[in-house]
Amino acid sequence: MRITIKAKLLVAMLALAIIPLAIVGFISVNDAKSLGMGAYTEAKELGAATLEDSKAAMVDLGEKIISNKAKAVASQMAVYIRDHPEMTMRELQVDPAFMKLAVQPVGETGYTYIIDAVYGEILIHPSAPIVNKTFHIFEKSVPPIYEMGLRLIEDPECNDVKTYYDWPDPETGVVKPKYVYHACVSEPTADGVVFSVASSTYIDEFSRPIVAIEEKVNTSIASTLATIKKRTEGLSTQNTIVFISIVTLIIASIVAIVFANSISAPVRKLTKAANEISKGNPKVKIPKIKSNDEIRDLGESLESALAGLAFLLDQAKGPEKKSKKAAPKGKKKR
Amino acid sequence: MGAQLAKYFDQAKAKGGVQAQVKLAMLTKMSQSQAQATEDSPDNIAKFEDAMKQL
Repeated sequence: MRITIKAKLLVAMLALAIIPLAIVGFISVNDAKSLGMGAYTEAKELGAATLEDSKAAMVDLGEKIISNKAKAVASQMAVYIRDHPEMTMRELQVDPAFMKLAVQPVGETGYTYIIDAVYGEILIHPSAPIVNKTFHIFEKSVPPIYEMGLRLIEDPECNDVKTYYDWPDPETGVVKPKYVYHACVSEPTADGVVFSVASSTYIDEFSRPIVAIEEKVNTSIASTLATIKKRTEGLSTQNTIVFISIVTLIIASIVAIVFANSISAPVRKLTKAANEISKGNPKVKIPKIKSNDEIRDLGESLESALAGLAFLLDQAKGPEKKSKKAAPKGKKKR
Repeated sequence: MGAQLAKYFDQAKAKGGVQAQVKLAMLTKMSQSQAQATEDSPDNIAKFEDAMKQL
């Protein structure tokens, strides 16, 4: 199958234009996608890590607030007992001022209460049914409270104790973790009762703001992902790529055709002239090639060769012309 | 018309025979008959002079 120089040049130039364009385009789109997805993943991970750290910090803060409340109330109790050295625990249990000190709010829904540190009896509590009962009532229902109670009464030095336990929210019924801290009161009552102040509330009261932020962050990250996907996979992006590819293809085709023509056209002219020479026509005119390149050199060489050939042909014909000119003079003499 | 130019072919023949004449034709890109039909312009004469130097 014959393939012209023009066709070969055209294919070569288009391939040189299209292939790198396709490769670069493919790589660029993939890189953009990777970059976008990488940024999304990193942002998501950073956001998650930051939120976790923030939650942990808020929980830690919550624990400190609850424990400080217990210690503060314990100090107040000690002061009250020192101010009322004659009052027994039973008398204090019905003393309104003492009761007000014993049960104070903690956080949004929590409270303080007092418990005997030797026998584990709940002395003052907002829930009246459990007053004067020991922590043993929670052995089956709230094991962590039971175990903490054991630690309290088994410690002769009445050191502080703390624990987490699950408790249903009174409004929603949802079981959530509560944190409780026991701080011992330094002053025993007149009848020698040593007791501790317990401070307790739901720990999510302190981490709730972070949860709200977490939802906003997650929404923002999801929106960012959607934007990234839209930009890298969206129809407008693909259309832009296709449009640029088509324009590049058209420009490359025009350049390729012009360039190919600049080579193949003079070659065709010289080929045509050489064909005429090969048919025995020495008087053919070799076309002037304007381009300053090897093709013009070829044209000039062909012209030189043709001039030499024409000279030889003229030489070969020369004696025939002379004999034809002499013939008329000979006839006249007769 | 190109009488002067045609004379160069005679000079070439005297110098180197037909071979020189062929070379002259190739260098000038004109056969003898073409030279006879071409004007004896200063450019053409200069071209033939250069070619003669190369013979």
